Amino acid sequence: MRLSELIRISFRALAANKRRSFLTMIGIVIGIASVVTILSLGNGIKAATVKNLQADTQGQQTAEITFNPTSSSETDAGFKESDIALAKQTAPDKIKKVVIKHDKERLQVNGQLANADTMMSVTLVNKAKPNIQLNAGHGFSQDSLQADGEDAIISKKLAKKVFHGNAAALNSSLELGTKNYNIVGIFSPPKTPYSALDVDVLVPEKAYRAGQLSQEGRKLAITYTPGSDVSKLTKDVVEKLKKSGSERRSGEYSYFDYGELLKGIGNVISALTLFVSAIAGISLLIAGVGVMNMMYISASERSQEIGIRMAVGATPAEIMKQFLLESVMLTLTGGVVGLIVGALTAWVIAMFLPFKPVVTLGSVIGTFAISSIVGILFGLLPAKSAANKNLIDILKS
Amino acid sequence: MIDLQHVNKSYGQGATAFHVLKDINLHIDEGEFVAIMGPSGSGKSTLINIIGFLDTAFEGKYFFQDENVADFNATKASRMRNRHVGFVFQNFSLIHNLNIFENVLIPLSYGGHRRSEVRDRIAELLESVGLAGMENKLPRNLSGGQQQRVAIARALANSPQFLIADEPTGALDSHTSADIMQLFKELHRKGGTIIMVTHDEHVAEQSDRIIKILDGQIISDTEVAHATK
Ligand SMILES: Nc1ncnc2c1ncn2[C@@H]1O[C@H](COP(=O)(O)OP(=O)(O)O)[C@@H](O)[C@H]1O
Ligand SMILES: [Mg+2]
Repeated sequence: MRLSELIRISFRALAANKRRSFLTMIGIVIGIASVVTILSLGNGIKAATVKNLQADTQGQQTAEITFNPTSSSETDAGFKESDIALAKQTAPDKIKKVVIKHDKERLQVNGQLANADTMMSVTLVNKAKPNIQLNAGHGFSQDSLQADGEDAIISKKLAKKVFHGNAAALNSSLELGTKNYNIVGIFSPPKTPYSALDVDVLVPEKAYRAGQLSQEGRKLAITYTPGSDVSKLTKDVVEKLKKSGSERRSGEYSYFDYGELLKGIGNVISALTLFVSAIAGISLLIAGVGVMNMMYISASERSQEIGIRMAVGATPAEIMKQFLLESVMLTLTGGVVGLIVGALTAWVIAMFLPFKPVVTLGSVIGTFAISSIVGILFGLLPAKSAANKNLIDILKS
Repeated sequence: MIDLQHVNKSYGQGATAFHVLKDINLHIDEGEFVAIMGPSGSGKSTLINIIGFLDTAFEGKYFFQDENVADFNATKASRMRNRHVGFVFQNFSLIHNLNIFENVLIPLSYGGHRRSEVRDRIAELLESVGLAGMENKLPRNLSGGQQQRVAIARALANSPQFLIADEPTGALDSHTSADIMQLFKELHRKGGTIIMVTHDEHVAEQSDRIIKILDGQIISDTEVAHATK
């Protein structure tokens, strides 16, 4: 029998018992719809999360390599021009730009305060009035923001520790690198955790740089051409630096792999989504049992029809195909309706959430595949029972 | 064309086995019109089912055009029935949710034909059984005699080698059954081979050859002397 005719008679058989077919299909619709809803919301969350975590707003692919000195006497060590060339060599066609970045926040610096060596945390600022609460003295003057500026502001804690009070600290001198500063203000660090301003000393950036002997920075920022494998390329650069970087003997080169992190977060969200979908998928199994039940009833009700078809030439395989096609048509229709219902539900739910649902091509294909598989799986036994009916027994009754 | 040699058929196995057909030897040629008669339970249906490839689980040999039917598997038997046999049963055997056109279409579609290419063929078949233009009617809107005509049209759809009919008039009144017999005779006159089970003497006498069965054995096989022949 031709497929077109087979589809036609299968449709006829389903239409002959509309209510039963419809009720059986509802189970499939609910099953598929819940899986699709969860998947599209999950994909939406994933897309939104990954996008938020990607630091570069222009969609550039970038990575940063950090240099950490191993001893405190090497605090000046970092990246040099030669390291830029070295990094570029690794993959000249993939690396667009390499720049040395100077750390500006929470630097650990050995300086002189009240004629004693002191380790201090320092943040460099570019504004006359950084967002801090001043306890005594004043902020930076406009002049002090230039290279020859000499103003510094220290924290209340440091003032108390070294000078035993704000008054004594003001106008005292502070030496960082080759430069002397004049303490012009005392501030209370903000309470926010991990704030860049939660440090002992604030000095203007230009003035500080002028006082540094070497221009080595602690960070190397690499920009790649779009589509590059950032993780792998950066790893290569780190390897190269470890072998022949300018300061390889005085510290460690390390690289924080954002790509891996994003992939990891993406994977966790995907796994969670799949897990929840699998739970929703259980309803699909129950619906499948409903299909199986309906097909068994149908096969036994229609044994007369099966007998007639076989008598006039249907082979057992053709009877089986007909019944399988009936159950697949049922589940596939249910699947398509479920896909639409699920996508609409996700869309409505997402109106109250801060992200958009994402219906991927994968979930569309998956829906078709899963509903066909459910139809075949649960239609197989009833179809077999229909095909294996004894012709003589049917014709006798 | 049909050649049964020492055919035996039992239902069940071992001690409970029920021996229905006992050493049947039967030869039927092309163009014959045979009536099989006998009391209820004597094995007429069992025999005709074997002849029509509906039942291939028997002992002995059955040659149909030099092929041994005992060797057919289910798929082969289905193909052979589709191509070579037409069936008419007592209880009309139409599929109720299909219309007349689609009922007649069934053997044609299992024979690989498209609907569109057999429209004329089906119209012609329906006309030959006196049901011209009834394609779109449903079986339940037809009388018993009309339903049996549809069954005959369906049986003839693939131009089978022979027609088997198990009590085709058993559920019909005498007037309608005379109409059906008229159809069979017409078919036979055009050269068709018909093997028909009946327990109605009047019906049987319209055939050319009457085979009588009792307890699974052929007890007589006689030519009918037609007054008009
Ligand atoms: N499938 C079967 N299983 C067991 N016995 C059967 C079966 N079919 C028929 N019989 C028995 O075989 C005998 C012959 O049946 P059948 O050929 O239908 O007789 P008829 O058509 O002459 O009335 C009957 O006694 C019947 O009970
Ligand atoms: Mg019988």
